[in-house]
Amino acid sequence: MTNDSELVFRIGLVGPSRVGKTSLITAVLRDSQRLLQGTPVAIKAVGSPTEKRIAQHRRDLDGSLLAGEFSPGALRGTEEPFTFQLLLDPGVPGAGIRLELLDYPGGWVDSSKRPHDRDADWEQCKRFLVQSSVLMIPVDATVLMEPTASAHLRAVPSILTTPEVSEVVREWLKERNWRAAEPALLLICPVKCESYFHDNGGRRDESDNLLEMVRRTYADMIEGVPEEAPHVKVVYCPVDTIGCVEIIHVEWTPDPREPSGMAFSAHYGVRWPGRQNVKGAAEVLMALCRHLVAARRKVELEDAEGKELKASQAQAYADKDEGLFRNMWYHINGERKRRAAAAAARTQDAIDAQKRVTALTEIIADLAERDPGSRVHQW
Amino acid sequence: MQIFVQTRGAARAADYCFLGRAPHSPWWRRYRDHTTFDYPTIIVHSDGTDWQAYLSGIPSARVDAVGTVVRYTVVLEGGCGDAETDANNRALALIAAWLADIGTGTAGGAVQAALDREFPGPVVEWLLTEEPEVGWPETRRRALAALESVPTADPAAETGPPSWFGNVRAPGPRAEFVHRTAGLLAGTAGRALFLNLISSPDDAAALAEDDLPAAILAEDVRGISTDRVAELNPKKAPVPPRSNHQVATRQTSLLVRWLAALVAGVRRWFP
Repeated sequence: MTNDSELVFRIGLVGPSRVGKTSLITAVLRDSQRLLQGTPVAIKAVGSPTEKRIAQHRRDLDGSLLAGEFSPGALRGTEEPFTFQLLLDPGVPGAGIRLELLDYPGGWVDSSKRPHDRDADWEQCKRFLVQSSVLMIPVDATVLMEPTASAHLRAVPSILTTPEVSEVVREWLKERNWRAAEPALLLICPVKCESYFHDNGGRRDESDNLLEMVRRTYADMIEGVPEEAPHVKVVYCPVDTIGCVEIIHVEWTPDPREPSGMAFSAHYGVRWPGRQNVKGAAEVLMALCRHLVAARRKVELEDAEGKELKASQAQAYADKDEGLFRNMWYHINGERKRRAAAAAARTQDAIDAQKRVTALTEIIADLAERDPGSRVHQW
Repeated sequence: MQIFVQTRGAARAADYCFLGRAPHSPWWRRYRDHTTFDYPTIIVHSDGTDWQAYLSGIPSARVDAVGTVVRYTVVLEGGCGDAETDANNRALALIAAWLADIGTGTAGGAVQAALDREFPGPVVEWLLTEEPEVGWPETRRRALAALESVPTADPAAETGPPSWFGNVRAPGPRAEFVHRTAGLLAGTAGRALFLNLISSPDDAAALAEDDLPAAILAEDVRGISTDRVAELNPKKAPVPPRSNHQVATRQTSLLVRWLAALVAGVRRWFP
């Protein structure tokens, strides 16, 4: 169930078809639940549609892993847009932060490939993306790390739709420039990173190479941030969306159907015991929390000050003497009682608001103390 | 009858889209909170004059660039009544066949076979790049040919209530669903829905609040266990709370009545 007093933050995702946007969303939820165990803060799916969609995705993935093999093909692509609703709940009623993440067919990012009948849908998605204070860019790490020839490297921007993604980011930055007082966060999230880190069961550590490849591939975008919207933070958060898989081999095949003329596919083996072990998604949440909770605290402080002022005004209004006859009439028709009740309610609102501010202060302190880990990098 | 087919190509950039032409409006999206369109779904609507049907999650023999099974979505739109009987019977056959494939968990069932025969990989890749003037008639011709190859349905007599909920795994509710669909195509206003996020009678009851009666099937069913359908009673809308304006109006009314009684009393004692 949602609560009208919850703050809603929109988080946009921009990436090509089949990059793993849905997998990233479910990984963030799964890893964050683990991170927040034992704290008064929880993260959960809100509403039946989000709960059931996440369950469907998990069933597909778990079934594939149980079979002892993993193919990215076990996870379905997205045909219709859907907004996932997550709640970051500090345990204080009404003090939650609702996160809305828009999932949509990644092929829509490329205007030359987008069907005309989807133009209106894409405009709606773009409005959501531009209004989001957080923008996540999922990047297929295997596409960046597995080229072995110059022809493969030439195909990378086309496979990752880097120019199209950069264009959406540019529009988002322009909007952020107009809203310079609002905190804003650009999260670059390489996904399918299991084979390039050795902190989650992997055999090799190529984390520096991955960071460098991301920096080179998205150089224009990253370097454009200080010029377009200097207050936007750019954070690099690589994620193992599955955790227990390892690349066995990859194929680069000439394919005239691909815009780059080159098709790429990766084949994975499952590491024993074949259970999903997400890594790095909690760091995404921590970056989000620092951004979102700080923004919420700012809003709540303003709200609390406003409510205290209203409460004192309401009390004065309730006690106001308006003459014998009018006061008697107010007593007869219950107006005096209503005014007193309104004053009491507003005073209670002020106390509740203050409690929420206090609770969130503790959460901010808790999250601030956590080490984001060696994977995370801020540009 | 109009027929539209959505699928994708093997290349990463060739994402899901309708071949040749798309339906006038994505009317099925009103159910987006009750089903994931990527998974098997059936939605049939009729206002008594025209009907619409949406069938999604139909697997193909093709895979995309990362090895995922590519799916079909088929949207059908037609007029109700005798003049459309032949076309509507073909549509009913397709809906019944897809429902049977879903209910029996048949991978590579009759619907997949029919569509794969008419839409092999090279044809799909060609239609994805073809202009609508060429792509649309060819898609329609092939889709109608696919319908022709699906065995016709023989709907049993329906015995269920106007709105009901049933288990798609059970043959009885599936037969009721096919009969309801036959009625919708013939000109009875209503809905027949198989939605994959519905899992309880409460979920289904919320859908039954619409003006049109609904026959609803679900896969992950809690709350019913038999081969029979359960009647759905739409929840009554809660009475909205009184507004400030209504409270003020009521007080004014009470005051007027109180003053009238006072005046009547004064007149009685001081005629």
